[in-house]
Amino acid sequence: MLKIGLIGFSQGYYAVKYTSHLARLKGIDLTGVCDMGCDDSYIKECAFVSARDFANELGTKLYSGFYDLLDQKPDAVIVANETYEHTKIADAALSRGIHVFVSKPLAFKIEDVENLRNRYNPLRQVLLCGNPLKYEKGLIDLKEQINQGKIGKIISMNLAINHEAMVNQEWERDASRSGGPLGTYGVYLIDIIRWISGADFKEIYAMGDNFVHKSIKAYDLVSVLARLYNGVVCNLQLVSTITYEYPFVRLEVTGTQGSIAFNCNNYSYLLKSSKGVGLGNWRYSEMGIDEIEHFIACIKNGETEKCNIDDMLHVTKGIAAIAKSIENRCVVGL
Amino acid sequence: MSIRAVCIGAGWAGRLHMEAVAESEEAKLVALVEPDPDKGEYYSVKYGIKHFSNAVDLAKSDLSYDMVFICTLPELHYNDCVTFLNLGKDIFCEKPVSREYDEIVKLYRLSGKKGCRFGVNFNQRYGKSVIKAKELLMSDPKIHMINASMYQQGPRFSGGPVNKNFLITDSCCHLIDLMTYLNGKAKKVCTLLKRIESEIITDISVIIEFENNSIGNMSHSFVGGRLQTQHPFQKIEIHTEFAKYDINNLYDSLVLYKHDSYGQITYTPSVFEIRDYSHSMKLSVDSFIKAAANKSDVPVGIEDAVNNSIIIRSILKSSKSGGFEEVI
Repeated sequence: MLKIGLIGFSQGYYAVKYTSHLARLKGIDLTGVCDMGCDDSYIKECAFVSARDFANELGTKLYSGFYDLLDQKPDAVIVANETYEHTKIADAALSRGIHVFVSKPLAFKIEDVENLRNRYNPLRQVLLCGNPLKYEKGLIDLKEQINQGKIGKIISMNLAINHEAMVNQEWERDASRSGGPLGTYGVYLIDIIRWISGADFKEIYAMGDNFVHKSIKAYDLVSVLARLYNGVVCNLQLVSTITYEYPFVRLEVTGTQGSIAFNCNNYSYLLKSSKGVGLGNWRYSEMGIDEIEHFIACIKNGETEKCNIDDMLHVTKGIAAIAKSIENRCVVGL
Repeated sequence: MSIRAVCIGAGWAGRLHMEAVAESEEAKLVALVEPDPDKGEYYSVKYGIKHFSNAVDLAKSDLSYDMVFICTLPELHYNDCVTFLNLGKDIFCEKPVSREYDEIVKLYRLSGKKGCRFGVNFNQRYGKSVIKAKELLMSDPKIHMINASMYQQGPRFSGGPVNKNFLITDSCCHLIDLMTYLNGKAKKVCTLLKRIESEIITDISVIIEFENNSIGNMSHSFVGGRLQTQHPFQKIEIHTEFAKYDINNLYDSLVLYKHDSYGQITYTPSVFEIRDYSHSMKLSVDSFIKAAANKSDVPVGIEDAVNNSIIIRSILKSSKSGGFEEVI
């Protein structure tokens, strides 16, 4: 029996989704959930349920402080509280020998990731960092087609993320706690490109502004031109000026022998090459559920984390470079 | 029918220009300049027009005409434009008017001095979806971001009309025109270029800051010059205060995603409408003729070509400096 607890309800969607799914799995014992001492109104605003009701529904205990939960010696915890506290809680759990899954994103500051990385021994515990898009079956299919050489060598990549700004909760509107749209979704821009291309970012040229959500005091639209170390040129766009998502993710990859496009609201991919045109399959992709099952597989079967702390170091460095480029109107090397 | 028109060049573009003039109610095609005798004879017979084998012979002739359509290779445009502007003729020139900024400026000044109309064939403005987007943007003018991308099989080696900047000067000029047409003047650019197993530049990505403080992205790929597909040929995305607009291939569709609605609105041409690329060429020609006939402003003029050329110059400068460059 694997004992798992939940720490935090701030990222309410993920907290409820991950934990509810765990409760349905055999071999999982929910140690408890921790509301971090937040009052009912805060938890309900974030998760649309009170922590007490959620604990009762899953038949588990409610803890107020996260150390109280860690003292129950769970094998693993899910961290879904306010983003700026993620690494602190992850560190506390890892130092007690507890496996950790941190909801997207692990952090938005380089120093937070570096501090955790310096204290964490990946040989001892699993530390899975959230990035649901790595579990999107269409993107997995697209990556597989590229790996099979169907479009030759990658020339350029164009990735657009359309995601509403997280402005409903007070903590989300505070960029120092949430990271703002770039801190929250930068993981998609940076990590997905690195994952698909297999290369790190070399140079970043970015522009951004706050067009709509003045209350968040952070960029709600960001555009990035980047060059990777393997020479691939990338166009990345994060659009959070919207009130709901249009085609949430769109990725086009052009290669020397063809091109492949992904639109998450459509076929998994559209492949064009000199050999013809092909469509990927329709698919149903429950990214959050696949993510949490991967976490369990990492613990039980020794699978390698699909998004690890090194990935997140690149992500936070990328976010910092984007912010610096926007602020100083300059090219920033990584 | 008052406007007497001449076409110089009977290649792919010239053929469409001639068709458009022939179909026009305001203009009449009276002559063609074409060095290939077979082509010249064919069109001379087809339209019942006089054929000259070179522009000098036309210029020296006593033929009566008002308007000249320049459809030769770009490097020949300048001299032909100068010749016929000096004769006081209205000009409609294929894009790019020139690959050199200085030449375009000279033509701008000369056309002003001579009082001649000078139209430029940035025909992609006449794609059905672009027309609709422009119309809708009139009531939703606050643009946050505009992205334009284009993918087509292109050349890999220089020679003939192709030089190393061909992708930028001859192809990106369309994307630049569409972006500025829909979103106004550019202020700064930053560029990345690539050559993929080729002598010439085959891939470009540009990030643009506009004067209205919106952000632009332009990317264009000849996909190494090897891929025999057009990967969606042309795509434009516009994010505004009230909606997102997706233009697909100029004619396929305009999809509108309004911020206050969970639905989407798709505009497509009627099945009875022509929706190919050449149609936009003919609309472009026709609108110039109509403007001349009505003595109204030139729809797409030499000043648009000047502004386009300034941006291209800044893009090339930026590609060398590796940083942001002012569009001046």
